[in-house]
Amino acid sequence: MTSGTLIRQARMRAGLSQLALSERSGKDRAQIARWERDVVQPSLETLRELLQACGFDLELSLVPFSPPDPRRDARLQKALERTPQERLQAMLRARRR
Amino acid sequence: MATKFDPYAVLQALERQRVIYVVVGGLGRVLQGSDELTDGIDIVPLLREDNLRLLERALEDIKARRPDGKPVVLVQDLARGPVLELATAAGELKLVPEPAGTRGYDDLRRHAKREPIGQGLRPSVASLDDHARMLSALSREQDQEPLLTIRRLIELEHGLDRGRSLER
Repeated sequence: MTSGTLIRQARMRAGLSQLALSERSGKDRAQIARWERDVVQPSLETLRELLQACGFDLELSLVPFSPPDPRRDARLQKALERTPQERLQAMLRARRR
Repeated sequence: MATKFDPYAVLQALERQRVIYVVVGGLGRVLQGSDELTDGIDIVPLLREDNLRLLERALEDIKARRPDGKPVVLVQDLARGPVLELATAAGELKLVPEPAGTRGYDDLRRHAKREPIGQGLRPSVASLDDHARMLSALSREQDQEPLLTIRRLIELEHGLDRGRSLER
């Protein structure tokens, strides 16, 4: 999840256009578009203000972090390239082994 | 009761009765790309009376029983706890009316997608973001690994999406 995805998701769930969010939050519409596309990242405070303008709040918590594992990433990347049907078949085959 | 896991049999029974639901849990995560193994199906049914009647019929078709071996009395059994675990002829089926961190079917259906899985089935599957939300809310030790996987999948998928949009 990126800040851009979060802003876009909150805006869509609130049924707002970028212009409407701009008016509600007092932020520039073009800047909102850049944030949503993750071209630039807003500060945490700005992100929270934007989400609040959509009627949501940001809840942050500390969660375990595991550094990227290239082998695992390769496996997951391959899974993402498969269709859901292929993913299910692969899991059922692995269960039988 | 046979213990063979046959997700197609369970989902076909639900489809035959036109039950409205979203797939969550291990199978939902596998369909979204997680590399874990699972031997059951978790679903979040729409709790409307007519849908529960259809679900009850589907449960009869797959010979669903409560863990104590007794037949299912759906509305009563659903009210007993947050998860109704059932044994069926095709493996374990869990009914979860309101998974942790969500407000149930209406909440999950918004970002759920119908995923083709073969045999003419296209179950509605909860989104990766919603899977992360549910696992985070559970805060259980055993969910940490699947949660890390889902978070990584979200990041990788985002990277893929970005790549695709640049290609256009």
